[in-house]
Amino acid sequence: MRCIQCEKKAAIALRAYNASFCEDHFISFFENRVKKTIVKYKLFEEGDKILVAVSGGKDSLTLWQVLKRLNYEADGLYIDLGIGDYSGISLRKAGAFAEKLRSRLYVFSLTDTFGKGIFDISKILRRTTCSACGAIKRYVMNRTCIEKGYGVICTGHNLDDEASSLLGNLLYWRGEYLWKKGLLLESKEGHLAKKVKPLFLISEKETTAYAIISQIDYVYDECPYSKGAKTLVYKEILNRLEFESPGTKLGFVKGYLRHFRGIREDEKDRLKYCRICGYPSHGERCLFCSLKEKLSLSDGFSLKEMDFR
Amino acid sequence: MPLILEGKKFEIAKRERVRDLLKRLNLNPEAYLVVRNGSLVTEDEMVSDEDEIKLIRVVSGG
Repeated sequence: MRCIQCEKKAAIALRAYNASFCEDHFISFFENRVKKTIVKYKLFEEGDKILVAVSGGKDSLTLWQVLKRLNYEADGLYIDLGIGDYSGISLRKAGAFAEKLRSRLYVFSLTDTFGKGIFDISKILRRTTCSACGAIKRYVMNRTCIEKGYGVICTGHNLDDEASSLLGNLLYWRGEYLWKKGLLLESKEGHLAKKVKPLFLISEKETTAYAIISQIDYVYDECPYSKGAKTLVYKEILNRLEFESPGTKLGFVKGYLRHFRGIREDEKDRLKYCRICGYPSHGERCLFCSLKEKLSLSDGFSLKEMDFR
Repeated sequence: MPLILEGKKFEIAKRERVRDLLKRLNLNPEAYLVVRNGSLVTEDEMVSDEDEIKLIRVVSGG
């Protein structure tokens, strides 16, 4: 198989686009698509200060590198969830990558803040580990973005993440999530940062290929708490459909954006704010401040900083 | 050279196409990438037992 642009031997074939590329042309194709998504959906503009949430995995590190190569001003935020060796390795990879990109990396540590890792915290909150993790991450990303003066937070969610989450929400008709999904969440009233997903229309296969070709040293192992997650089943089913009908995932997510997103805007909850820290919350106190109270810890939010600029 | 995938060892035929290798291991090409001697290869390429082959799972997250 040959590259459709230069006739060199292809490194990857993308059936959804009926195209194959050599390494160099795949990198250009990938970066152009990220740029087009940013511009088309007005995710952010040149000169905006961007904070990238990095886990040490292929998607977030790839996103960070692409944004830097596209000349955006982008720093990283790593949230250490206190999951033994997994978190230790992830932090080391994120730190080494920040150094490679000559960027700044903020580190928030759950263990330093609460004296416990995510597993123990989820028990205190009476939530599943993944639910507690998601809530804590959203809080930390939002607060860091605002307190450190960034205009937008970027996450590495890719096409497969979005398609599988959309499928799950549709199967169980979770209206409260279904109508809010998208690649952009606008900022509100000074305490809710703008959140965007520049890899929304790019598949996991593509982000992995980008990471391999660019020799990005990412964490290959999965979070130990993700074993048996339903999302992985949805992803497998969607990949089976994609194999039979290339372009299915892209059509599914783009179709959602075109036809459904926003049709029930009026039913969105009105935003409330925590009376202690002032950040968005479902009740009087946010999850972060409730946890501090339960553990008799004083209010406060601290980040470590690794600056390689 | 044996092929290692998530801790399990597999034998590679003397010479076979990447597409056939994935099919034989029951792996969806949408969910795995194949690296031969350090470079990504497409499904129509040939691999042999003398190559160093890595299968990279692309699916992540829970």
